[in-house]
Amino acid sequence: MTHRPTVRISCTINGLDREFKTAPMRRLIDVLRDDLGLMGTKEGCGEGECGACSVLLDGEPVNSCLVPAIQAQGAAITTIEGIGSPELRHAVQQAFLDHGSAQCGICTPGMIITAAWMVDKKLPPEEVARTLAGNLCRCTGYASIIEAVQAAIVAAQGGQA
Amino acid sequence: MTLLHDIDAVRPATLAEALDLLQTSGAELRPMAGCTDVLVEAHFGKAMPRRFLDLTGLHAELGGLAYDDEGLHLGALCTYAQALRDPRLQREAPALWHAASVVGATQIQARGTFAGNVENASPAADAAPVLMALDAEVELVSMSGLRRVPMAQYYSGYRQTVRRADELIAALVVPQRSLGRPGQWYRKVGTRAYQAITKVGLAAHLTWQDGVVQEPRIVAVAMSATIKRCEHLEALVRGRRLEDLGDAELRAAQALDVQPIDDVRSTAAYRAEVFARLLRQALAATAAV
Amino acid sequence: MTLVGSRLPRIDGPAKVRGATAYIDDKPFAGLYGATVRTPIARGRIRGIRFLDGPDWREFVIVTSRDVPRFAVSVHAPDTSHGEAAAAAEHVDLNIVRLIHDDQPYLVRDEFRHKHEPVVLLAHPDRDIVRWAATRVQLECEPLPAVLDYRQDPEIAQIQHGMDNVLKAYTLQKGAGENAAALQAVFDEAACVVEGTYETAAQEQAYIEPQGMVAEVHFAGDKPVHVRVEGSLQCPYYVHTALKHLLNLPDDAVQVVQAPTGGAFGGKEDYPSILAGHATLLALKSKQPVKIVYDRVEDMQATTKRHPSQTRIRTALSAEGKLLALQAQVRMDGGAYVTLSPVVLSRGTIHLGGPYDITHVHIDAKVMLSNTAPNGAFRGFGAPQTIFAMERHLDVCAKQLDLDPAELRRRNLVQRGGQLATGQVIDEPIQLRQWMDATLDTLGYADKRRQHLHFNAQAVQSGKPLRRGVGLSTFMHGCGFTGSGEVWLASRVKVRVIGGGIVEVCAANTEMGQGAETVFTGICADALGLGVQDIRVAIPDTAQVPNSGPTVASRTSMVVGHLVAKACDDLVHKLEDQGLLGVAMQPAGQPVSVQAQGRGRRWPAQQLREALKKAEGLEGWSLYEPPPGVVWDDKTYKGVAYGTYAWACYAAEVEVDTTTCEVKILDFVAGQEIGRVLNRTLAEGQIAGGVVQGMGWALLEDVVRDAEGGMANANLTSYVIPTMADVPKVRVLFQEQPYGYAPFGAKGIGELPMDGPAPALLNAVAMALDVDVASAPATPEKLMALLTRGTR
Repeated sequence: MTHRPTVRISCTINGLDREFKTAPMRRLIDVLRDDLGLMGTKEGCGEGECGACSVLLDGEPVNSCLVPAIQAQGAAITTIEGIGSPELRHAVQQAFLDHGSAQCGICTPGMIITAAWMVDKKLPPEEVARTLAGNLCRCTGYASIIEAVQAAIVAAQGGQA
Repeated sequence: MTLLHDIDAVRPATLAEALDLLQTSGAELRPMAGCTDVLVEAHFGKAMPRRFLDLTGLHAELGGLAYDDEGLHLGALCTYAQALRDPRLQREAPALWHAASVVGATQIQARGTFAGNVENASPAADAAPVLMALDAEVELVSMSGLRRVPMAQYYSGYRQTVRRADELIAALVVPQRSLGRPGQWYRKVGTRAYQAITKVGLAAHLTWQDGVVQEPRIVAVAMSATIKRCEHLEALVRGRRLEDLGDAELRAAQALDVQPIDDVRSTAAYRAEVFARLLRQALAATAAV
Repeated sequence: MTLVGSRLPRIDGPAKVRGATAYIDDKPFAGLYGATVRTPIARGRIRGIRFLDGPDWREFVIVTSRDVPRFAVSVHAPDTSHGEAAAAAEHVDLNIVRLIHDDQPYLVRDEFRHKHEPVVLLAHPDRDIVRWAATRVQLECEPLPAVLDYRQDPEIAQIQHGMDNVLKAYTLQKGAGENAAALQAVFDEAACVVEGTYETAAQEQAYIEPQGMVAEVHFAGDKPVHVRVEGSLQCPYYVHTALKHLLNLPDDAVQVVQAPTGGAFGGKEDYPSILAGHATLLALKSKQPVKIVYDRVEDMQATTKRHPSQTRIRTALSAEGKLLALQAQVRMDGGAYVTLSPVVLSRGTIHLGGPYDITHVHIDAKVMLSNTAPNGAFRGFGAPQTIFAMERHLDVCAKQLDLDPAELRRRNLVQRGGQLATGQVIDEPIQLRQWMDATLDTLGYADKRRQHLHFNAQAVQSGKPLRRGVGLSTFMHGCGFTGSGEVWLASRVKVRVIGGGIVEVCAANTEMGQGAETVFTGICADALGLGVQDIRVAIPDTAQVPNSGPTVASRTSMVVGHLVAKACDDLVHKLEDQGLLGVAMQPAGQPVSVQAQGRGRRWPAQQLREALKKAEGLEGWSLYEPPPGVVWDDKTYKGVAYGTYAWACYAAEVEVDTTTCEVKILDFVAGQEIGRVLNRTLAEGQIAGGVVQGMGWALLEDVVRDAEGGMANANLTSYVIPTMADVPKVRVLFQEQPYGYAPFGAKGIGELPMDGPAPALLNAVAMALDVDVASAPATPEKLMALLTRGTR
């Protein structure tokens, strides 16, 4: 009978301190979904190509299907549940609604993680396509997403969309 | 196929701890950092070790990048994203900076490390070829001490490096003589613009003086079982003028250096043809500066 | 108007941007996880199943074909609706996936026909363990001769269907095309005859949400009395039909519910029936709920793809470029079982002739069996394949005649009163030349063509690597099911009043990103003169909604939306009859919708709301009625194939770096006439999304086969779809010529954008490189081989 390894992890998720025990090499996406009930993060490929599983790890967008649980120790993690709130959307979320940037919606959480990061980091609007290239979408053809993110970036910088 | 929940991992707080672990159990311990290769391999059912050595607690000792008289030291945990934020690196090692910018995409760049790329030893590696063209050295550390291995001697076979089981990559060192010098060139021909594996690539450092090639470094990517210096091509172009280099002799030397294959991503014929054209581009572009 | 002509925000948008939408794998679940063991070779017989060391097999529930009765007495009447031989009620093998032809099993009994065909199902409480365990089951197989290249006629030992492995064949002929000698005479006398062969590759739908299904069985003692499946799917009633036959249960004992679906594009049209069957078989045996979710690799290996195609075209033209005759042979790869191939081939055959008035036509089309996973529906459904061939071919003709490809089309585009290849007379007021010019002018086609010809000549001379080109395609896409298909579907929709005076639209059509939920909400609101807040759209649950037909064939807005509007009229009629509304007032100045009478709009909204609050439970119904004059002959392939078409001209500008032959798309204009734009944001989204899928198919996406016909690049690293950095912003133009038998005049647009990009792009590449690229994808490898051929 093999004994399964476990580690105890303390980290913050969406601003809240969380503690959990898990196998050290379990993927962060599985911990988020199966253990913590945060279903907003999606698995599209399991190989770090599609970006549907994107979360912020210590302030940077990463593929949570490629992060082992042990590396969550001491980290600050933000999932889609931590972007905006039901009462007050993040500018990017509102822009997505205004521009019709979500169709089937499965890529949307990961897309918004990276897009919100761009807005909050004040990255240049002409970098949107390059920066979001790790978030695949099969429905929109991307135009509405690029428009929304650019509009949100420009608005955040006080300019005209 | 080992299930992830059966694999153990240990996360030392100091380098000394890590090296001690490697000394006692190096054979069954595999170091991991950004995991952009490790977890993909696990996903596709490749054989996994019993235990991983998580290096991400060692930022104090293995993180970041620094410059000194020796050159540029890329710490083992330095990610592509960190390098991309370094204006000096962009200025002095533009080909390396460019290579970092076309690895995967944002999410991969936030986690992937240069050291991981070097150690993963893929024949289609992204940053490693540029490091090889810039004469970088791999600094390996163990309980027995430090040693340096030039990139050109780091690979011993398909996906195999000379790193001993008790060693860790501490840093990658790009020598001062390669920094800030014109003649750096890198082009990756991938399956698409981003999130792409290299189908054929070339990293070069070609310095010209009085219209003649000085110390050429020509590295072929995805053209062989490993990334490699093209010794026949380097010998051919050394001391030669651009206009004297004929197609036939270049292709003949190329054929001695690399024998590409057909695979799921591309064909031998395409790779050979494009590599020859990339070389022409590299020669012309670096000569013109 | 709430919807029509608006940019009404999506109803499901707010939940989606918060990540709150629960797809099937997000919903609370307590039960077992399923995994599938699949065949390792292209064709053979199962000789043994070995359970290897590793897993504790006692922890698993195991299902094979032996768990599915082979000689059952069916509770269902023989089904004659497909025109195939009626199945007897007795000695029915339940292990058959009901669709068109009864040849595909849920689980292999003995002989199998493709790699990755399902043989054994496993269930276990741990999802990772069950996936691992599936790799620990070994199938011992005796190989049989497999046919892997659909373009070759099979040898005797490779025959697995009929006498010749032809899954279906059609002949479409018109004019002299009805007589071989007469047709040949036209070719003999023509000033210009051009021949070409064009090929397209398989394409994977690559919806970002892999397929998934949950099955629950309720028992009375040991007997299953109710089955509920929920999952990622397009057509709940297709799954319902398949399951009721598999389980031999009456209609009301099976319930199929669509979960929010993360993309489908046809890939979740028929395959979910198999997945639902598998999950249910495991749930039956284990007596627990079972969830099966594929990972990306399995999804790509095992599920359906776009049919590969090879089309030979020969056209006769006058010296001025007028098309006189079209002769073609179409060959498609259906994969191992019939599935939807007859319908895919049908649409391809009908669309080959394009929006051109050609007097003499003869098309022979067939779809072949090959020992690969069956192909199925993917947006466009046969039409992109043949349209690609025809539109590439026309550019080859233009080159031969030294004509601008746009001019060649100008001289051949059908006009009102003209005929399509099926003999259908076009009586819509179409202005195809004008609409083509709108696209071309927006791209700057004429100027760019001139500039790039000059640029390329200079580049060749000076040895510079870049080349540029422009290209176009003109095409149409028939909306709804072909011919009498819609009559056969007999779609029904109901709207019912639920609590608080809310009107609920009950239809089986599924929201999968295209905006169906929003469109139905808006149509209903506009038909009643109410607001979005007064309307709900019911979850497509076969226990709750009538069968309004599948969500395919560009029919949801046009055909079913029309039924939604009519059901609303019926509802208001009933309210009026019941005296719940007062005296009718004709509102002054209100626009009257084109077709939906908008009976509700005669009443002030507040009055209607009051009436609805008193009418909880009241239902309005509608049943499909064909527009007059849609007469189609399935045997001769003549007549009115579709009540209406959407018409389009797409144009592309590309730059090719001959160093690597990588193609960069500089600009793309997608112009189409679609009857009426219901919602501008949704319509633009559909077009842009379909165009980018077409770009992928044209340049990047290729299904690479291994030696056993399996997909060798079954992952998103190696199957290359476009990222945001690979495509420009698609510029979308709409023309509107309202169609009389549609809600507010709107035609279908779901598939149209898939038809045009590949030929437009490859025409542009052909101009840029001055090579005859005849197959998609035009990968750099292919282009480099064309360029270096003959020079080395």
